[in-house]
Amino acid sequence: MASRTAPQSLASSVTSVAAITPAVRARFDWLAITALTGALLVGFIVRVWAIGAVGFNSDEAVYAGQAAALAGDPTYSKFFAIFRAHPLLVQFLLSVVFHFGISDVAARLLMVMLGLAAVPLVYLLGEELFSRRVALLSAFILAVAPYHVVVTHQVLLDGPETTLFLLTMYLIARYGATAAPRYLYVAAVAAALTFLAKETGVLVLFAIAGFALATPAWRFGWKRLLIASGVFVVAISPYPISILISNASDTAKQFLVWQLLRRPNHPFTFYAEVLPGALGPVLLVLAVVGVVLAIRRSAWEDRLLLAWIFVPLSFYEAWPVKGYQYLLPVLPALVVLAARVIDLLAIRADEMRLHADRFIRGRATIQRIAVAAISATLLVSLAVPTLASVSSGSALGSLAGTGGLPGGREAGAWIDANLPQGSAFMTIGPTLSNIVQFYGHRRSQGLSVSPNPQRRNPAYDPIPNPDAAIRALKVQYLAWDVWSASRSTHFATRLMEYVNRYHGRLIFEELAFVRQADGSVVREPVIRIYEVRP
Amino acid sequence: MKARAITFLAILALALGVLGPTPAVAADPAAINHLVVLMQENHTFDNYFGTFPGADGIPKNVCQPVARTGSTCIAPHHFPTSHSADPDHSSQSARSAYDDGRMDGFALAQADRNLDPSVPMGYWDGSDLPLYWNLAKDYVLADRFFSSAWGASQTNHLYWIAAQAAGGHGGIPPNGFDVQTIFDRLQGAGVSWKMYVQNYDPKQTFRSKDAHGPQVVWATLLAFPRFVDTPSLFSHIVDLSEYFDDLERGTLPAVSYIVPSGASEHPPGNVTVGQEFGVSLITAFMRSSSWNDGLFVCTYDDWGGFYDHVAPPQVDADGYGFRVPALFISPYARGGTIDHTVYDYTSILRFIEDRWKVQPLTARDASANSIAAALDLSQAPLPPSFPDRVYPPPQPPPAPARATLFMSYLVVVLLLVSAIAWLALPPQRRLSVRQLLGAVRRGR
Repeated sequence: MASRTAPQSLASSVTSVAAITPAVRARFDWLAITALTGALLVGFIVRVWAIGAVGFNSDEAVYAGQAAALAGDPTYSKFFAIFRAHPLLVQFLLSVVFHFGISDVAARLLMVMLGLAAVPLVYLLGEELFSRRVALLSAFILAVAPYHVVVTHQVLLDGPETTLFLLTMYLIARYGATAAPRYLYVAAVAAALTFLAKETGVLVLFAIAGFALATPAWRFGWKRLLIASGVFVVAISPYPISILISNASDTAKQFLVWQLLRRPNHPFTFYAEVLPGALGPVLLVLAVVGVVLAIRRSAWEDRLLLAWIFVPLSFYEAWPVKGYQYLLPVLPALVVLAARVIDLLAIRADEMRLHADRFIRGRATIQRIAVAAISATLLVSLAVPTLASVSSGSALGSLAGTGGLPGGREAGAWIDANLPQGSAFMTIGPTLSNIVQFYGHRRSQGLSVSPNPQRRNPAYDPIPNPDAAIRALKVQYLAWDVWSASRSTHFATRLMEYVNRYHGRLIFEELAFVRQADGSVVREPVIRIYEVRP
Repeated sequence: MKARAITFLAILALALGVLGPTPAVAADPAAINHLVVLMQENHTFDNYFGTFPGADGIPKNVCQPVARTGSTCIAPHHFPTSHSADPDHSSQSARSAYDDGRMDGFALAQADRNLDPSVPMGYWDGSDLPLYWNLAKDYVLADRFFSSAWGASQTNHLYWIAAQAAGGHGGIPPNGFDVQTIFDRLQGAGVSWKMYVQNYDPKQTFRSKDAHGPQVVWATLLAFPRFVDTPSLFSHIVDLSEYFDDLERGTLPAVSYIVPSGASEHPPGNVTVGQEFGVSLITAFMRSSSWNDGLFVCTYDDWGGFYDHVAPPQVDADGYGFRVPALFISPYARGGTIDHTVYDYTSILRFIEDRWKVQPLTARDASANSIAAALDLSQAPLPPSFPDRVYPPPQPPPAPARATLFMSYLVVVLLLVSAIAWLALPPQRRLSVRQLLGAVRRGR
């Protein structure tokens, strides 16, 4: 087992911390706890700010619908199969909440709590790997980071997956520090739950493996590894159980095939284009510097973080399917490395303060002010876009996973109140269909769902012959939405052809404030519902 | 005096016994401003709803003899396809089937005419007619709705509009019919009405060479010179396409009668096609503003030659004939109930007369139970509900399966929580894995 090796530049700092009296240490603990509580409070406020202002987006509607079905709600059970493809840990947790009533705000609050759990965990990780200063800075950064806030105040699988990924890696770090096998075994359970939150959480195993391979001094021990593997296999058993119970082995296979053969939904430059905006320029620069420093230092702590970053990054870059929120599990590692850069600057200031040269001691104050300014700039640079993101709706043509769908909940409520039960919808694509089913409680299918099983998510049913469906009165309403129309002009045009062909009559139009690509906000029609008659 | 009192009581008891359960107290129909009646063709109650849960359907161990001697008989059986042959459904066959109330001549009546005696004993169920069955589940299904007269379409269609056979037992007389109809009453009272006819051809009347074709027989007003020759009346008979326009514009009249054509469900027509047609009219009604104060009645004009096990009460020389299916669909229908009140087509007329304050046409409608008994106008209005295309509608996964799934995730989450709690314990209070396993082995 490799021992922790602090870099030379840290030696004096370590000594000074060790030398402080118990009374000072107790005060320091109290201050740390207060600061951490503050970070949690700030993180909570930005996540719940306007949490219910905009209704669910498509993915949120699906996960919440599955959870409602798992909770036994008969209405949602008609529209959402419990098992679709993903494991069901998040849906299970939501279903516990839904036993007391179906509420989109309650669902998002649960996601906020699960997401916020990453803040104390990143604190523990920062303290475990580096220092309390790194821990506190990491906690504050994660609390207000727009990427984390935006994803964790939605009902998405990636927020809980990230928290569990972080927990697993923290436990591995503890195992690295203490060599106590109990941390390895609990890490196996946490890794299993990471997988159960979202199947791509299995990357945590590859990250650990990458770390182990890159750190030859590390020894897991075959016996311990065997026990940990056994624990992992037992702990992921709910997934095969759900496949067996749902008779969904074919669906699971189809989903796998579909994912493997899926056409790229974004160019390979996607993450390079999106992540700078999601992370913010200051955090990005600090994280990059942190990565470079970690590569140069290359202690086991650094290798752990580097494996954590590069294994998922390589996978998602190689995988043709890309999504805004997919890289979220990497964020805590980037945050710790960014905080580590600031910590190193602060350590340098501490060293300068103790220096024999008076001139250098004088510069220490400037250095400390610079560290405080960088920290403040970083946090402000994160908080401003975070507040902007959570207080407004999605931009026109914005990425999936970046927010709710303005007007969707309102349109669904209108459908539920005004249109006959049992009526059926055709939409441009599955996005609005999921919303219609969740809020409107009416069957809905997307026109863009391919009849070719290799080209569609097996969770969705295609409309093989839309004309026949309308003529046979299997579809009575067509719904157009601005987001799907901006993504697929072809299917938007086809939908409107059916509207015109079957005497479509506009019966509902939802207006919403929509942020345009140029940043301006315009109130415009976002959803239109047409009644059609053959 | 005493003899007269006894006679009166006997008649009363007979009437109660024959007419079945006492009808529910009729609701005041004033809240209904739109009545739509669709008259489909040729099915009995048992033929369509004989296995509907809770309804007075096909009894066990029924077997209809196919000959007057011997024991060969035919039991009710599920039709393998959605269409059947067209059994003879004349009034003579009906009386043979009735057999003075023994109800044992359904197969025999066909055999006597060298027709397949098994056809009357066939039936359809929810797998064939999911739309109708789901409507019956959500709204009101009447299982004591009798055709007004023995026999086939003509007589019953006359009862539907005039509460009498009007001498139409032998078909349409050369000069047409000349009795008062409910539409005369409505016209006189200034109440709006229309008769919507599918694939309507205004040239086809009792005077045209195809006077005995379905359009004139089923849209019987076309056999009334008064309605054919008076433009202000004739203009009320329109093509079915106007029904959809009226619904969309909100101009549906107070009383609408709908007469089908090819989608009438008349054997050998495909019952699923007829079902789609009927439900298209109902769902269009549900989608309109007329739904809020409307009542849609879907019924059938005669027995079609099919088996029904309930002996129809005999109120006069014309009938009643056998039971036919009837659905009452309205925001004020007593949703999810099976109505056992005795009705016939004149019950619809009675409803119209009560609602729009017009005089009865004959003693039949004057004494009929109003279909208002199927309504509860004090209830919170039911929402419009398009019927599911599967009967019974898909149910959530069985509770044990959900429970297993739920428990499996719960166990794993608890495992993690307890493992973390275990890690958080002070070292002196924390057992090692070896100690834990040892404790388990020792049963502690």
